[in-house]
This record gives sequence, structure tokens and C-alpha cells, in this order.
Amino acid sequence: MNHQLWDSYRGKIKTKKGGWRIGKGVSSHGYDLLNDVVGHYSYMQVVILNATGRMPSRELADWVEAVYICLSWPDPRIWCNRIGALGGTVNASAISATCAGIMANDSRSYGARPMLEGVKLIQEAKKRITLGERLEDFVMSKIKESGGLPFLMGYARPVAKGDERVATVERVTKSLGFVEGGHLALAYKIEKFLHDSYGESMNINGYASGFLADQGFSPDEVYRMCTIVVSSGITACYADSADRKQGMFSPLKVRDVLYIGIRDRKLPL
Amino acid sequence: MTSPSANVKSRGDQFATRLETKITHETPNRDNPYQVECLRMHGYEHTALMEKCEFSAVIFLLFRGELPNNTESELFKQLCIALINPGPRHPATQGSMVAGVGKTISVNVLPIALSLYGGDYDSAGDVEAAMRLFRRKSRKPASAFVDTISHGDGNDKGDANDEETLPGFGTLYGDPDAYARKLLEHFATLSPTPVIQWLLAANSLLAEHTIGVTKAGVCAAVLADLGFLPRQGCGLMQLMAAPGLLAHGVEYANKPITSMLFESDDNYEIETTENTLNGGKE
Repeated sequence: MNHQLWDSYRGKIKTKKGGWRIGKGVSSHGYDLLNDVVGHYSYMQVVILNATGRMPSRELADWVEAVYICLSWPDPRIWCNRIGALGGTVNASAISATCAGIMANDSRSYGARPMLEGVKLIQEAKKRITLGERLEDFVMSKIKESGGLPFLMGYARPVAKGDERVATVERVTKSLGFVEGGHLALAYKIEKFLHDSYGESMNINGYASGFLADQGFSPDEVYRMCTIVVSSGITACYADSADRKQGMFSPLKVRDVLYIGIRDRKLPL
Repeated sequence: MTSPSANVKSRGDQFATRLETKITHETPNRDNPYQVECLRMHGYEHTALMEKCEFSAVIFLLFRGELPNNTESELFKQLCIALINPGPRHPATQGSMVAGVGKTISVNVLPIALSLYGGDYDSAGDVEAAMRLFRRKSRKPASAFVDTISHGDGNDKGDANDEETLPGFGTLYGDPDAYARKLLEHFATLSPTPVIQWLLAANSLLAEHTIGVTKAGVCAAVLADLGFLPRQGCGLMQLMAAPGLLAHGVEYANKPITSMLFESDDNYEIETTENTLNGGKE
């Protein structure tokens, strides 16, 4: 019987985050939320504080906000956005449709979850290369792991080659006064190798992973601060289709679906 | 440095202009091509399935492409009922109850509960990985598998030395899950199929490691023996648990908020950390 540890939590909440003391105020990580934070810090600073336990500088929060904006395209062809738009067309609630889209970006191929792998990759690369492994060998080992395809997390992307958001965030990095750290410098070197060898380049995940690793964040912290990174674009797509006549987003005639299964048959007796 | 990524070009992928499926065959309504006149699933007419089949058999059909035979039908039906109610103490059920008592709109209650039930602690999140592990390892005796754990020589994912990377096995509140073991023993009596029997043997051998089979592990073994694919596993376990999760949430929908847990300030402990001592400030 090893359940004693759970007995100390029964009927009791323990938290390192803070909370509401009724009649006394609300604390968050040692801050008085309503007096010390509201009006003094930006919302994105609080997002990062709540996700990581550390209050970032305003500049860093503005940088993360820029990434959020970069992932807020109101284009319903993007998978998570499409889910929002489909929610709108059936008149689901804005919250459920947006949450459904956010859940979709918990994906192995796009959105927030790849940030987890992206930060892990660049941290692993830095560690292994610092220990003496050649960059080319590291990259090739990762290509081998991904079945011979040059689709390392943070490099290449679906639908298009290149990523216009990288230049945008580079501009933001510069304007906010950040200098390039070791992880980001390595991310560029990996990109150069992949570009020279396969014509693939860094995507916004790769850039953000290198930058945020340089800021001392762990993979889990980055993932947690980016949980709703795509939400705004989803809500936009939801709103557009919800404001039209129902069923008008992506209507399909019966014949728009090709049946390739077994022929008509009768139930066994 | 700057990135060459600004040069963006389409990959030229050819996307489908029609959807295709092996599952559903719809015939259009004569007057409105967006409406259905006749619906078939894997060849069987919908209303005929309604009249002659059990609900669980049609679920089986949707995923496996064939109706179950009598043995499969019994095994699958019993698995559906085995997992139908995670119970009121389960975090996902509590989430459902909180949504209910909080007057969350009704249609959101089940998605909320199912989202939580996607975790991998006493939930469905582990089923896919467990099915992959069991399918691979059950080709050899359970003792060979348990030996890899004992000797800590498992480089293969799923042979790791701690329960966190051993899908389908673990502990529940500090000890092996006794109810999961009971369910496994029930299925082992019901079915001589290989993965279930292998899991029963592995579970006995693992007792000395103070871990045991989880409910996700039981689900994974039965689904594997029934020929389901690993990727179908998590969703099927969520589907099977949905009735119980929803029932408890709806039960609370008409109750006052005071009927749900809300710990007093005395039982709300804010732990001081190094971070909070300096206010988390940079």
C-alpha cells in the first residue's frame, strides 16, 4: 500500500502558482495580480508568467506576441482554422469551435506541439555539437530518424517551401534589441546545411525554438506559453462562416464524396 | 544572420478535389443533391443495421469494416461496458461534473470530459502506444519482455525502466490498479486470444516491480486481439467511456454550485517557492 502520499492532498489543494484569498486579493507567483500586475504588465507577460512561473521582460513578451500574430492567419484552408470555420457553419458556439481548432493544433505537423519538438531538437543539437559531433552528422542522424526525409522539426513546412514569417520575426528580434544567442546561431547553421543540401529552410518554429531556447525556456515551457497561439485565426474563421447562412462553408454534394469501399450487401441472417 | 526562408514557393502539392471513403456510401436525394436518400456503411443499409444489430456491433463494423462474429461481438460488447463509466472520482468525470454544475452549455460537457480523458494517467491516452507495444512483444513469451525491464537493457521504446515509458502498465495512486487487474482476469477467462493471455502473464510477472496493467492496457489488449489498429485505440476508449462521463456531468447540471467541491481557504495552500519569494521578477 503506497497511497499515503495522496492522503495529504485529499480535500486540499496545494499550488505553487497563487490563487484567490476571498476578501484579501489574488496572487500570481508572488505578485498581487490586481494591484501589481494589472496596468503594469502586458497580457502576454502574464501568459508567460502563468505558463512558466517567471515574469519575462516586456520586450520578450512582445516578441512572443509577435509569434502569436504570425500564427493568426484568418485563412480557413489552414487545418485548425478550417475546424473553426466548420464550427461556424453548423452554428457551434464560438468557444467550442475555437477550442476545437486549438485542439487540432496539438499536432505533430503544425501549430504549437511542434514547438515542443523544435526546442528539444535545437537543445539536443547544441549539446551534441558542443561535445564534438559535426553538425552535418547530427543533421543526417535526424534525417535518418525521419525516414530519410529532410523534415527536421523547425525546418521545412507543409504546402510551401520557405516561410515568410521568419523574416518578420527577425525584424522584430532586431527592433526589440535582442542579440543572437548560441541556439539561434546554430539553428541558422542547420538551415544553411539543409538549404544547401535539400533546398529546405527554417520555418517559424525553428526560429522561435532557437530564440526561446536562448532565453532559457524548456521545451515544455515553450509549449505551454504557446497553447492558444493559433486561437485568434480560428475565431476569425469561425466568425466569417457563422455570420453566413448555415452550411455555406465547404458544402459538399453527396457526389463530392467518392465511395471506394465494399459493394452493397445484405446483412447475414 | 538572416534566413533564406523569405523566398516562399508553393510545393505544388496536388490536393484532392473530392473526399473519398471506404466507410460510408451515400446516395443522393433526387431533389436535393446535398441530402441523402440512402446511406450504407461498409455495404450494409443503414436502417437494416438499426433493426438487426447491436450498437456495439455497428461500432465494430465502422472501424473494422466487417460485422463481428459471435465471439468478437461478445468480447467487444463486454469491453464497451467494462470501460463505460470511469466513475465519479475520475478527474475527467469531475471535469464533467464541474462543467455541469457550472452551467456550461450542455453540448460542451462531453467534449470537456473527453478532452481530460485523453490523458495518459488512468485514461485513454496510452492505448495507442500500448497496442503497439503489446502487438510487438506478445510474439514472444511474457517472461522475455519482463526480463528486459528487469535488466534495464531496453533501448527499444516501451522497454524502458520506469512506468512512464511503459504504456499499458503503471500504478494508480501508488499501487497497481487492482480493478484493471480484475477486468483483465475477466477477459482472460472470456477469451483465449494471444495478446490478452500474454498480458495476463506479463502482469503476474510484473508484480515484483510494483507496477501492473492499467485500464488502458486492458483496452489495448482486447482491441489488439480484435484486430483494431493502434491509431483507433485512444478514440475507441474515449468513446466507450463517454456515457459514464456524460451521465455524471448531466447529473450535476441542475444542482447548485455548492454541491460541487470548492476547498476552503484553510485547505488552499499556496506553496512558497524561490520564484515566488522574489516575485518571479526578472
